[in-house]
This record gives sequence, C-alpha cells and structure tokens, in this order.
Amino acid sequence: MNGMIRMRDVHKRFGSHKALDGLCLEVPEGKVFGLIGPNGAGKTTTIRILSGLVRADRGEVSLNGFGLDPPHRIRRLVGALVEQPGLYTKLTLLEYLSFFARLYDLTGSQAEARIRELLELLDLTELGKERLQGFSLGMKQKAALARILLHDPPILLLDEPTSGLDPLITRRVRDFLFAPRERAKKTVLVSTHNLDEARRVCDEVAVICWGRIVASGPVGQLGEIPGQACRVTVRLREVHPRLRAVLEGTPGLGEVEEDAAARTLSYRTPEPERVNPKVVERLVGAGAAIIGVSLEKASLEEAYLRLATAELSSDEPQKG
Amino acid sequence: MSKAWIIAAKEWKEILRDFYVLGILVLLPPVMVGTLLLLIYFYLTFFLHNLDMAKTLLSSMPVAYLQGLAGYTDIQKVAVLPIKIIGIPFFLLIPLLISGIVTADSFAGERERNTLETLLAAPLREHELLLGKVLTPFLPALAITWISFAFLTAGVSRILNPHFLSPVFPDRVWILSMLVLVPLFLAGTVLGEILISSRASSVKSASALNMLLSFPVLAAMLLQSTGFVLFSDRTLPWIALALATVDAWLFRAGLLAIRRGDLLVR
Repeated sequence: MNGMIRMRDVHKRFGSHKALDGLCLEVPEGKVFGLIGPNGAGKTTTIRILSGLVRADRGEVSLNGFGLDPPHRIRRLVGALVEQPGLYTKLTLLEYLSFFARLYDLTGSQAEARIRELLELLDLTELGKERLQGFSLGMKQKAALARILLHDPPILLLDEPTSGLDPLITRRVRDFLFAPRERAKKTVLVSTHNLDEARRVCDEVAVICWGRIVASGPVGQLGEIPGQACRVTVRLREVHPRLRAVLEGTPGLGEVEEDAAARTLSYRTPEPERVNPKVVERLVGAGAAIIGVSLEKASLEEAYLRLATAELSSDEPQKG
Repeated sequence: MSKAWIIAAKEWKEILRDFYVLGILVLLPPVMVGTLLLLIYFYLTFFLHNLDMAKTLLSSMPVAYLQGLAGYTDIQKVAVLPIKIIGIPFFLLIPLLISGIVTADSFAGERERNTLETLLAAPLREHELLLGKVLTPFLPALAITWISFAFLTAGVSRILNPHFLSPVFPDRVWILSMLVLVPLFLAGTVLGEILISSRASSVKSASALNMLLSFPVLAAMLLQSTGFVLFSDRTLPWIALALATVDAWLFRAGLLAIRRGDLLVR
C-alpha cells in the first residue's frame, strides 16, 4: 500500500467504549474519499487520529509515508475541519487568520498574500475587518475553511463540512472545496452523513460501523460490491398470484414485492446474471406475458442503509 | 517560545475586548489596595487616640512580631504591625484573584466554545501551548501586582511617614517578596489553575475549583497572624525554594495534562 492516507489495524478506546476496532483505510493521492457511517461509528475519531489530536492505542497510521510522531510536524501536512468550527469571536476575520498563519510559520508577507487570496476565493474580502461574533453559520464555516487552507496542506480532513448549513451555503462550500482546481492538488478524507454529498463529491467511499470499515469502493460501484443486491423489476401484462408464487419458489431471490397498480413484481438478487434468465424462463413457462425487465443497481443510499443496518443489528462489539 | 507569545498575544487581544473581564481586572487592584490602606489608616488612628491600648496590644503580641522593631516607640511599633502581620499574604490575593479570572477560561473555555480542537490541530509543541497559556494570565497579573505595590507604597508612606524619621516601607522583606515570592507564587497559581481548567468540564466548574487555590494564601495569613511562620529574611529563601519546587512539579503535570486526546474528551 502506498496511499497518501494510510491506516492499518487501528484501535482506539475511550474508557470502556471501543471507538475504532481494527480500522483499515487507504486513500490514494489526489482522491476525495468519503467516510460514511451512523453516529458513533468512529468517523470523528478517525479524523482526530489523522489530525494528531488523539493517539491510536495501536495500529499503523501514516500520512504521505510519515508516521504521526511527533504530531506537531505531521500537522503541517493536514488541514482539519471539525464538525463545529469554533472561532475566536472577539477577533476580526483578518486577526483570526493571521493568528493561525503565524502558528503555521507563514512569514508576514506570505500570510498577507495567502489570506488575501483565500478571502477573494471565498468571497469574504469585504468582511476581513469584521469581528467573527457577527458572522452567520455559513460565513463562520467559510472562515474555518480559509483557516485550514492557509498553509496549503496536501491533505484535507473534513468532518461533516456542510453540517447545519442551508442548501445554498452547502452548495457554495462544496463547490469551493471540491472544485477541480483545489481537487487536483489535494487528498481529501471527508466524513459525512449526507449520502447525496458523498455521491456528488467523492471518488471512493467507505462505510464505517462499530469502528471498522464494512465496505469500500468507487462511489459508483458501491452497489456492486459482492454481496450487495440489485433490484430487478419485471413488468407483466397481468400480475397473478401464481406468477408471484413462481418467483418466490426460485432460489437466490430476496423478498418478492408486488405492485398491482404498476403490474410489476420485483425482487433483489446479488447475482442478476445467473438468476434473471432463470426467472424469465420460469415466468414464461408459467404463462406470464413479460413486457419488460429492468435492473437497478443498489444506490449508494440503499447500499449504505443495508450495510449499516446489517452491522448495527449484528452483535455490538464487546465493551469493557 | 515564539509560538507561546503568539498564543498569549491573541488571548490578550481577546481579554482587552471583553468589557466585563477587563473591568474586573482594572477595578480589583484599587479595591484590594484601598482596603489594606483603609485598614492601616483606621488602625493607626484608633491607637493614636488609645495609647494605653497600644501598650496592652504590644505586650500580648508574640515576640517574633517585635523582632527588628527595636528602637521604635510603642506607637511606631503599633503602626507597622498591620503591614507586617497580614500585609504580604493579603497582597498575594491580588495575583491569585486576577490570574483566576483569566485562567479559568483557559482550556475549559476553549472546549466550551469549540475552539480547542482547532488550536490543538495547529503545529504546536506541548510546551509551547502550555507556556502560551501560562503567559496569558502571568504577565498581566504580575504587572498589576507590581503596579498595586507601587500604589500601596505611596499610600502607606503617606500614612506612616509622619510618624517616623525615615521611610519604613517598603522594607527588604517586602521588596524581596515582590521580586521573588510573587512571581513564584503566581507561576504556581497559574499552573494549578491551568491544570484545573484542563480537567474541568466547564468554565463554571473551573472557577469553582479555583477557589481551592486560595487555601494556601489563607493558611499563610493564619500562620503569619498567629506568629507560627513569619515572612522574614530567614524564612523567605525557604518559602521561595518550596514554591519553585512546586512550580516545577506543576509544569511537568501541566505538560502531561496537555496530551491531546485527554484535553478534548471531558
């Protein structure tokens, strides 16, 4: 493995709570990688470990090939946006950004030029001399974005970057963060609840549950991960209980659903290539008049819900 | 060290923009110094009109109090007693209270306002962060204490000098206390308050726990007023050594407390 972000068999406990349980993750350079999962799955802990804010109990973690010790060095590689970006509200936007620029060792002229550039990019130039306490949530989020980009880090760690923002601001933030110009240069790990956002911006996604990755892959193919079923809909001239019984008697099919109004029968199968010809053959044999057969790959949302539900309903990891 | 200054400079800027905190910092020293001066003034005035009681008071005083006062008249001895007995411990309340106002907010406040995570994500070494947090209350509290001392000196001189041939205040013990004892005491107080703030779940609980740090000062007042331990040429070096040892231990404990994960999860 030679990912820009790499975690292997990482474990972390907080008291009796197991936050990460052998988490493995690899994000290649220049990719936007989505980490999706329910509350308490370990997303924030993962980002905190990668930011050097929390130490893993055991396991291997590296950023751009470097281990996390000493953490203050590795933090220069990372721009971390936490879910609730607290700002020093008594400072002006310029003072706030200058403070962090100095902590990141930017010289006065470097800081000035970079701050000006970022304020222009984020449409905040007019607000430079305003105190942060008067900022709206969206403006605060943009100020936090400017902060994490000050030192032009190669890695961005974003924990729910659009959480709590209205759709318009969400779109602006997303457009900025994942614009081709920025995206070409950065490796991004973004944790989100927002599956639509993950689908739009991520190259790859991983589903995290109980502190471990339960599935991962390119965002368009998560529904094709082995074990993930497609939904098949058969449109008939007439739906008859006999035809439904034929489907229910066919091995390899999930639950059969009937929509009398649409005159369809539908089912799920992880192996449509093998199962569908058999289904068609049996239905025709039973006298069905088939108008059409459509195959729908599992959407990211469906795949996520199925994976997360399956994991959450499985045994809770041992505590204590 | 330079990053410690960056943190402290940012926090001073925030304090200067907080009307209430700034107001308390400005008002507290005159109130404390004024209280001490009024006490000395009324005490002296009372005994000037009741010389017999002054003699009775002196005869009942522990011998230790009267050491170094040979050659003084009875009224002169009585005049310097308040400043000698409770002056220094009382004066230590000024740095204690001022640092407490600022330091309770240190880590607990950052945690409450969700700014701690962003600060910890910056490339700071642990000692830089701790020093920054120490400097923020230390320097203003020290400056205010010394300015207060200047006002106390002016006030006490005005009250006492008419009764003496040469100025009696500040004496060597007071000057050494201000130059050595106060910085050491203040450093320990600030470090203790930072430790509390790093563990407390809120600014409110940090402020409440900071009250515990007034106990050593109250104990010093008690020991001094009962004559058990006096601030003197002989005891000062030992008190300073004890404070320096406590400070070193607290600094080490502070560094351990700033382990990132521990700070975030409270």
